[in-house]
Amino acid sequence: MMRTAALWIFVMLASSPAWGAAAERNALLWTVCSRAGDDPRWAAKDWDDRDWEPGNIVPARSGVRWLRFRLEWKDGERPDFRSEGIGRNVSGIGPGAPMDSIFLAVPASYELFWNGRRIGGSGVVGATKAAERPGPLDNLFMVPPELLGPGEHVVAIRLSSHHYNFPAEGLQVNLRPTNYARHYGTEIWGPVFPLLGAGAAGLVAVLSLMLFAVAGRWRPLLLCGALSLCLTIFYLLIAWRWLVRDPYDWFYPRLFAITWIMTVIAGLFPWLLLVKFNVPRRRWWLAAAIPLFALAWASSTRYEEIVLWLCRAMLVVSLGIGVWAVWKRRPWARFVLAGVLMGLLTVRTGGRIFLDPSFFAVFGVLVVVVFATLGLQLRSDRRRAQEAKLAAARLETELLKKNLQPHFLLNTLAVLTEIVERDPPAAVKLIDDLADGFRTLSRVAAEKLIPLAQELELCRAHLRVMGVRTARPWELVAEGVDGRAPVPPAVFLTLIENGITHQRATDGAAKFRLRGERAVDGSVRYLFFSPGEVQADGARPEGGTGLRYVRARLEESFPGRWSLRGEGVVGGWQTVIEIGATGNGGGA
Amino acid sequence: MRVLIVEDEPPLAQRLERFCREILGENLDSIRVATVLAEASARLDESPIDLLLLDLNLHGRDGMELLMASVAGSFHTIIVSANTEQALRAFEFGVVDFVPKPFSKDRLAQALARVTVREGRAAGAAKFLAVKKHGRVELVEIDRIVYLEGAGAYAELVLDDGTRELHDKTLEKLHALLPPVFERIHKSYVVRWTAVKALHASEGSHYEAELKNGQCLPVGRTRYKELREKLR
Repeated sequence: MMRTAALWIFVMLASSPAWGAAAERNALLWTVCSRAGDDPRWAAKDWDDRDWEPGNIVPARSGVRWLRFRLEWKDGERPDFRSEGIGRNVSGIGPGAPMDSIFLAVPASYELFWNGRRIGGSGVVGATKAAERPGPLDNLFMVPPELLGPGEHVVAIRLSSHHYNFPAEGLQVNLRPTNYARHYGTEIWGPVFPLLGAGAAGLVAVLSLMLFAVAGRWRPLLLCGALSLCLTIFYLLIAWRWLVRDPYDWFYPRLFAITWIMTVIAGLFPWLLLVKFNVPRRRWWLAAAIPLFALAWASSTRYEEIVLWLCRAMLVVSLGIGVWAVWKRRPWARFVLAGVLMGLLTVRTGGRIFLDPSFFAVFGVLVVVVFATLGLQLRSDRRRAQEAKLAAARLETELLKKNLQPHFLLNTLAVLTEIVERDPPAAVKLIDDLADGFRTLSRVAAEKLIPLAQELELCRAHLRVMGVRTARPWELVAEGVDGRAPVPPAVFLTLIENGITHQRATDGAAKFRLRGERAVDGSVRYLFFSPGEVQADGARPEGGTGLRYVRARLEESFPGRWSLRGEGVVGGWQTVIEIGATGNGGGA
Repeated sequence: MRVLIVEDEPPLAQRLERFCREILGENLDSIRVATVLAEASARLDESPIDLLLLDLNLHGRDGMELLMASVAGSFHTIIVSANTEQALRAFEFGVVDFVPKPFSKDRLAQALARVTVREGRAAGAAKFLAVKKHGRVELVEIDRIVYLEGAGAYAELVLDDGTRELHDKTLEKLHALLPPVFERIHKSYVVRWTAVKALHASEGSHYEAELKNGQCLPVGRTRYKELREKLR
């Protein structure tokens, strides 16, 4: 019974600015009773209803039934209306707005009588489900002026509720005496906030989804779009009651839909924040939220209450995420946290519009902030992409500089000037070797990865030039390497340059060695030996622009799955480069 | 003249050696070649040199130390390098010349002339003199030098606060490095001309330069007349 009553209070749209329980001027008092059956005489003002069941809660889906409300006009004046008891909601009546009509929001078909005279109805009352035709839920009936006046009045309702589809057994019938003009004056505001919300959310939804489709398939945008779409539906479903006079049996499915869509929103919003703030272990957060949502569903039989608690649960979870994000100094986290806090403090139930208008404001702010942060993030992502492009260009330039750099060329030319005079054929050979190096270089300069064979070619051309310059028979021996294996250009060339520059060549030690090892999981290890005594000059082993280039190249081509280390070995220095197989995790 | 070539690319070392022999001719007493300075510098005490031709990359701590060590020596230094962007810095530290690679015989001859020709001058771009002190090399700002006093194979730098620093180079060699504002007034003195207040002649053909700090330095008889003109 409690459950039934609770449901019904909901239907009666308890509005927030409730009048004080002890009204000062009880201008109008009433009693109510009901009985099953159908007799047109029961509408009469003076029908004896003392044997009727008292109360305004009647069994649902049980044939035709009559209710009689006995109103007592105490004063000599027409009431400007305060009442106590059941029908406390008197919105629309106040000073200067005397009672002249009755508002009914009953999920049943009915006829309404005032002192025996039929003043209106909703749908067609029927003894069977087939005979009944459901009418609209909300109706406002003007009472003819000649029927109003001091003394006793009887409002009789003949109703049937075969299409009543709430799970509850009974339904509660309430009258709301009101002022016709004032009532419409307030009613007109009912759908305003929901419609505004629907418009704004709809716009954000369209924008987000369009951005998602156009500007890269970025997940937070999809989430933001989905969330906004749900909000749009939520708001539209709320506004529906004012916009469409659908039959009363549509009422329950609509409430049900609203509550479910709020549940989806309550899940989507924290999920969006989790993605947006890049929070780890998202599933755990959602797992923590689910009991809260379940609690919200169990909190009440009144759907507006469930929606309110779902909203609060959502805000509590979001608060947790917001606090985490602020702690981790995520950009815009403070704004989101402030919005969530404000929402948590202000959101409350608001009758037919489910949540107080503050909810719309708060949600508006939250969506705008999230949307704005998404925009900012898009911007920074684009900047990062541009930087990556720039970095690639820089690496290419650096690669070209390696062999085109003035020092290398000038030193080589200086040697050439000497050899040209002493040994012209050797000079021609040196020019050929130099040209070989440049040709290979021009082929690979724009590539991110080249076959190892080509890299070795590049190295050997360089060694031939350096051989003449330093009068040493430099050599590169490769063992166990796959010539087709992809490597970033000039990685081993750089190691050779480092070796020649920073290691003091000892007699007979002019052999660089590269050994490749492929593991079962597909990862590759390169051991690069460079001969000569390591000079303790600080330029080696980890610093140098050369190694920076190698690292940048490896990271560009094998992000997060490479490693580079160097160690002194007998007779020289060994550099070990490991490249993990695709899909292998692990840091550099 | 005794020359040391430090160059790690043999064809270039040979080229430098050949050119030196051709340019200096009979003036060349000895010539040695080393691939790195450290190799040769250990033996510099036993077999001193007059000129160092140094291939130097100033990048990194190493290059800078090498440069300072060489310019603090008793010999003149000429850098032969492809890293021309470092030339200005090398001059600041008192190298006689900076020969960019690749080089011609004429260019090298020009550099050698700065050392061999009497009264030959460096570019005058030196800003520091490197002095060896307690086994380390320290830099002295040339702007702080008031005058230099010759002491045999060495020279003493006298600074604006009166302190004296001993330099391994002779007065002639130092004078060649200093900017034109330094004037040779005596066989044992080189003075910053702007520090001179007046010239005095006393009886017995004794000449003196009075400095702005009140100190008096002897002036050579042959230099007096020329200097008087200059002061006027």
